Amino acid sequence: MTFELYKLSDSATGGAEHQFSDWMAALAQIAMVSFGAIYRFVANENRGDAEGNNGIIQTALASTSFTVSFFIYVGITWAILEPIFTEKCPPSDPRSTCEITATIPQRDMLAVYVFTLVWLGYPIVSLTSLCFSGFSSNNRGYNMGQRTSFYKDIAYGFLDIVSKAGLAFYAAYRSRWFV
Amino acid sequence: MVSFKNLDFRVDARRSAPVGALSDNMPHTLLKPHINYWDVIPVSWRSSVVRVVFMKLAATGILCALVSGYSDNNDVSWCCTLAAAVNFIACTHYGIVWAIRAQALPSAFSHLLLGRTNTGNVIPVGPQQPESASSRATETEQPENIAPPVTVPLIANSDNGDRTKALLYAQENAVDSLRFSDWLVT
Repeated sequence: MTFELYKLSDSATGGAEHQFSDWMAALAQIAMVSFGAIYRFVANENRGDAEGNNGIIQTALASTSFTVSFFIYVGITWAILEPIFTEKCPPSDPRSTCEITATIPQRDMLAVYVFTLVWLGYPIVSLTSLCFSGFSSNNRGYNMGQRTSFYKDIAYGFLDIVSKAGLAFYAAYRSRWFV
Repeated sequence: MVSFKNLDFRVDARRSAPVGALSDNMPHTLLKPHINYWDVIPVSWRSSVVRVVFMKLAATGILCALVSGYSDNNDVSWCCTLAAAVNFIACTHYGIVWAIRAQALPSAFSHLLLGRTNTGNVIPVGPQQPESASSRATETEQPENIAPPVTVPLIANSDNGDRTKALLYAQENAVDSLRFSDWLVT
């Protein structure tokens, strides 16, 4: 998806340079998910054991891995959006800023904003589900409520539909403008 | 206005007919317990949410694959190819999540399913039914031709014996691992 969003961003700006390349962003995304996996599967979202206890190391690992993952997310998002947000010009254009005024680049710009910023929902859902189960009075590690799990399914499903199916539909719909 | 929070979704096996309240007349409450495994949220609801996402991803993935194949524009074709690949990978993961939520895993994983014993056999529900799904899952009475369930606790250091909660926790871990696998690839 990072490659697609870079492509759409380039289409909107006419090829303005990003902070770092799409390959770097894709690699950073692997790191971001890996740190998220450490938070979820190694530190168990800072949930307690079967007795409801958790230690300092677990808390430190959970908070560190989540924070690192979130900062990588911010970096990737900024790398995708920065040329659009700052109205950066393509390398061949000598002007300092280039406002996006044409119809198709404007649509691409809006799409990049929507499909990139919707990713913010994933850490929000993760933290919200933690508030329902992990930080509750009964902080046992296995105490995942069915309602919490159900709402997680709905929330992640909605985010996946918007970010993946939405982006795919936009990519297909966009082809009509280039016939 | 009916408050969703106050609805009691648990099956009352002693009740033989609906009495008119909304929670008694929902489709899943009219099913017999041995074909209707759930505790708080019905299995049919859980699987239908995932099924909708699966189908949405599949539909847009197929659309993108077709556009990619028929487009003469390289940029359009590249974007659509990437989108189709992303959606098909997500579909594969969601297909497995769907199987987990529908409690319909292959036999090798059936010990993780609600309504099964630790050995994967279907928990028989006879005339003397327990009152709730939780107690139904801990039932130890077995017909002679089915091996008795292993009675070790499913949660380490736990003696509360809540088998349904343990199974849901195992399923939640499996679903989250599939989500992370999907995010890692796409």
